[in-house]
Amino acid sequence: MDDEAELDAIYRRYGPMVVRRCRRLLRDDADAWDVAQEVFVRVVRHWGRLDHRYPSSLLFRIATNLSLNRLRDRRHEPALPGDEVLHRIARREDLDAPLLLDRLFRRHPESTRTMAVMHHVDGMTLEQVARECGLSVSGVRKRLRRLRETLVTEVS
Amino acid sequence: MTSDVSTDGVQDWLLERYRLDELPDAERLQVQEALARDADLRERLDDLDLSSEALLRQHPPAQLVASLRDRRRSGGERAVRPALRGWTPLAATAVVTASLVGMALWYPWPATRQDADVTRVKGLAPYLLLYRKAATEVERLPSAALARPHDVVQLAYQAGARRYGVILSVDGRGVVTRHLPVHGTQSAPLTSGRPVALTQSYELDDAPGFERFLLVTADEPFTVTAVEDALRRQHASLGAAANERRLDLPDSMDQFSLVVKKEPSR
Repeated sequence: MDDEAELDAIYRRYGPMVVRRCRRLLRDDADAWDVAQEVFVRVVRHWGRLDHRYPSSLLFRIATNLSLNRLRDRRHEPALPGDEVLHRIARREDLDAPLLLDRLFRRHPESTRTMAVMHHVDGMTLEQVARECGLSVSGVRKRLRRLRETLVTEVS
Repeated sequence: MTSDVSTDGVQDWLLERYRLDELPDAERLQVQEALARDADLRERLDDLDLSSEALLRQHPPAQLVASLRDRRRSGGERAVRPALRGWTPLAATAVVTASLVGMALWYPWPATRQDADVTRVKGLAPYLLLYRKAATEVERLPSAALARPHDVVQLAYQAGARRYGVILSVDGRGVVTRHLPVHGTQSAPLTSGRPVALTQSYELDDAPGFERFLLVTADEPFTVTAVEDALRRQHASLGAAANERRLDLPDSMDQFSLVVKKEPSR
């Protein structure tokens, strides 16, 4: 899809929904706009595979996934006041704080995170999540159960 | 986390789809019926219209199209000029600051994520962390973060299960800089356990483009020059597009790539 006019039209129709989705998850306007642009980069790349009946479904899913990635990338931003901050980084005792979530994320496909948000945050039923993600209901249920089991194991 | 379900049972996502007329019949009828009996829901739908108009004013389509055009152009057409500028060490208390050169306005973020995603190690996969000193705090720079000349940054690594490693960077001019080990021809022994911050921090210079940081690790020692040469070759032939690629190295080596974009000075 190289036609900029087509991209223009797609953005006019779906852009606000995508930006709102990113804002809701990221709660930061600048981050949301940055990720929203990335969503449309993906759309350009994968236009041929887009479900043209309900493009909003795919855009929503991509926006969710990329927003979660952004949250993952920024979740350990330290905020240390003072001039000796770099030295404090070098001495930081808690640099391994990301390990728990890293382990969690690495054990499950990104799509599972997206499903979890759709179900637990967006209030979609398992049937709706399954439809959005192109899986069976039992497949979604199984993925979410495994995610819960990992959470319980890691926390305990 | 709480579900985003309104009192009338119509969630935001459902209302968005209804507004776009992209709901299956059953759900569309469900929303229609709810709208008919619920003034609050009708107000929410009106709010979506207003919000959409405001967002398109704030970020007009031309802005997105131009942004994507720039990203595509800078990602695919930038000529790589071999340059002699590297990281210039600067004295700063106990650390050595050096010159970080360019970072691209291209969008390496998804590519970097893909790099990370294809890195698979039993247990924890090795990765890099990049921090920037701000006025009163330190912030972590994720992939695709924006950086500026004179930003002071610091690298840290998590070795995972790997015993030896090399940390390099390459800028938009194709200049490769070694960060670990600082000297010698062999990869550095890595410290396992918690992430380890390097003993140097670096100040970014004003070179344009991008800066790609690369952590290459293995279970056995390997030569640094093999990795440096692979990185140099890749960027000489592909330019910024190389940021999406893994280096041509043995499968026994893990690779983690983090790319930040460079903004001009304010």
